Amino acid sequence: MKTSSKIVLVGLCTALLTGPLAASDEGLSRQIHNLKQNVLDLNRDLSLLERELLYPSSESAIFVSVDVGTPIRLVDVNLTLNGKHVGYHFYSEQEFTALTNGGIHRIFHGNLPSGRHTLEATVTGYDPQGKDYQKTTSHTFIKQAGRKMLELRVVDDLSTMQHRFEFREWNE
Amino acid sequence: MNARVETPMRRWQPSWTRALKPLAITLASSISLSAAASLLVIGDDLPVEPMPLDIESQRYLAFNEATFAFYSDKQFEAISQLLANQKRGLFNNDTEYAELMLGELYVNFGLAEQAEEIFNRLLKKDILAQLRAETWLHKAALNYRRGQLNEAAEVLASKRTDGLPAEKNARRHLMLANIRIGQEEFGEALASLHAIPAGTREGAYATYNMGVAMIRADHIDDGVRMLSGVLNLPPGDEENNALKDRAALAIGLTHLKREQIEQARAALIRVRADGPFSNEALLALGLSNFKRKEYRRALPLWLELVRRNPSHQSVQEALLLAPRAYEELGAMPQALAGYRFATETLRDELRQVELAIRNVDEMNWLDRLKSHDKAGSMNRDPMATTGNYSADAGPEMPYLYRLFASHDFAEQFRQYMELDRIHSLLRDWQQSVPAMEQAWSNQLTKLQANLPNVRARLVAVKKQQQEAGAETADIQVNMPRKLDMTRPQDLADFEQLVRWEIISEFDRQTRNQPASSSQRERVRRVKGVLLYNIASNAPQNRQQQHNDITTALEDIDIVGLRIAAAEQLVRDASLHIRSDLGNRLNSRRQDIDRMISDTEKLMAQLGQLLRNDALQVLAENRIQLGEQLAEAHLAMARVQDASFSERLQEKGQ
Repeated sequence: MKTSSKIVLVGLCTALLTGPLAASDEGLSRQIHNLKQNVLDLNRDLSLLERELLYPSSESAIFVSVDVGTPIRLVDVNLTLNGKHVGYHFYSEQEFTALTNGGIHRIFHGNLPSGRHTLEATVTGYDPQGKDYQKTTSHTFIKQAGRKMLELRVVDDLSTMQHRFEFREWNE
Repeated sequence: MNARVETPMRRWQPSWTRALKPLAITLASSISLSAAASLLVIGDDLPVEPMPLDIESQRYLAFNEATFAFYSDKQFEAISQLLANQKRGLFNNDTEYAELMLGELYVNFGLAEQAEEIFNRLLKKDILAQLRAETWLHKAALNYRRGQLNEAAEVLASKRTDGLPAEKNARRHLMLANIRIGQEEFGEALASLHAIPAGTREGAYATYNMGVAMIRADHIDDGVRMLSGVLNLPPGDEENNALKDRAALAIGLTHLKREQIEQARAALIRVRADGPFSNEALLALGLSNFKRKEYRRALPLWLELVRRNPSHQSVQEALLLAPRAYEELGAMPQALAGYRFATETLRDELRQVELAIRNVDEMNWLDRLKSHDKAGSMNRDPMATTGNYSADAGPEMPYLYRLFASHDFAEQFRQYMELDRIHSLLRDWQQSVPAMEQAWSNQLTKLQANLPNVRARLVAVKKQQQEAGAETADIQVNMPRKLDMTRPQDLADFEQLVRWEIISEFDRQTRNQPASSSQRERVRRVKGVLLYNIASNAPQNRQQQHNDITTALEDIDIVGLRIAAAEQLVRDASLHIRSDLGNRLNSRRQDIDRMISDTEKLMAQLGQLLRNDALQVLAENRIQLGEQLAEAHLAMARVQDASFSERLQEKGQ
């Protein structure tokens, strides 16, 4: 029995204190490497071709951003442009983290007719106490001949512990 | 179980985020300065007027969009965006923040050569000290991943990586500690471990790895001390507690091996009864009692174990050990029944392993593993985190959990999933490109038909707008500054003007009548009242006229903008017609077909490697089960022989 229990013990120790060996194939790795590089090139070129096809040089985009490290949780944003619904996004936990790390989210991308437009954004969020609330804001802007970029910044209003909005516009 | 526990997948704060913050501030100020010199952008004071979309603004938007994709577990999207913007000329060798992010993404996508090229380029430049240190850290991490441990250690131990922010410095020392542990240079490893903040998960994993490595290198007491450090950490989440269990088990087994039974028991009873290492702990605890010939204390532990899932190796061992304890206690009928139960259970298990081998050998085994990933996440980004494939309920899973937990299998499966998602991406493009070609063809037909007419109409509309503008400007210029009642119609509002015209007409018609006629008198009185009203409202009406002219001029300006926008669209359309977009789409379509075929071949090869690994593990299990079954049969024969001999002896007496 002494031998048997020793074998069991050695088995347990071996299982805990050693790891399996790696199976590797250098040729396969090189082929995968080449494929990945080709796919990246293809994806880049097709994205640019798609953009060239769909968006003339006067494209428009609306971005959403938040304060870096905000304690107020953004849940979703609903966008209407001249009374018509143009975008909605629900922000997952991971996406909200991405926003608080300085990321900005393109919520709308398209071709807008030139002239005056009214954007309305309805934002749902949770304050630091977990209480939900909804706020709506509107912004009027003029689309000119070139590209138009608009950033909706959802910033902390620490006095009310809720969000407030700021708009930033770029014209080409 | 692996001796070296891989540090959990952690998202390190990428260094380019730090690079971004000053960039954002610089951008904000430069944008504000160029947009409106009087406006200062500090914090929330945003400029009211639109800013020009210059290259820095475009970089700000493009880079932060890539940052959003990066942190949203869409790294392939992030890398694609960076590369597309690089080709558009937005990012280049001088945009270091984008270079560093691209380098990190290349590392994560397994394109080490491209990453190294970027890091080398960055290190040759005159960049900020912290950015330089972070680039060196990335380069060392790249060497570490490639197995060039000496090169990595040289960088990590040098001053080149000094001055990193706290989190990255911890990463530096963790990596260095792991290398030193592998090289059995425990003194230096310990120095690096001290630099990792206490109480972090990374620190706990590194300490565990070091403890195990020291035990393996015969520094047993020091190793046990390191493991005790992990064991005595305060309770945390499931992952932390599992690591504590693992440390307790390793300490217990080490003491058991050295015949230090009491210390072994003291460590083993700290493994949680419902934790992932409870089977091993029960088996080892039983062994510690058995070694001291305390069979009665060993028995309940092993009897508890035999009630658990028999696919676990510890349970299989207990199936043989429990009847062995009965034997030692002289309870031969119970021992015989125990061995019989063991043979039946082990035979069932052998059948299960055969079934598992057949399952793994089937072509759709990897598809079943993949299905968990697909069900678990909607994220189809090729670089997204792989789902939990070990949750499948197939008969092979209990035998393969150790293989699935191994770093090498996980890495190969991750690559397989990457290829699978690349395959889906290529399939999507394969369907999209013909649609894009069709859209291009439709656009071409429509534009060729409509453009001449649109150009002509645009010229006419532009002329109309210019005339309206000139006319409105003329009215504005010629509007009298003083309220002049010699032309009351110029001061009347619309209603008054209509009445004025009616009365003027009456006046004209009654002009031939005698001055004393009642009709002329009436017209004269009404006209007087109307003149009084016009004069009374004249200031407000003039103000309204000014406002109307201003609005009209604004509207004419907006029409001018719209005409300019339409002209821009016409220019775009003209270029569009002349472009070779159709040819470029067509050539890419052929590339897609070729790449799909390449991906399928690589998936087949990699899939076979994964299948072979699984089959090897199952084959080893089959051998082990066969040996245990034989041992159970031999034990049964031994017990039966012993009982028979005893009965003969009893009869003889």
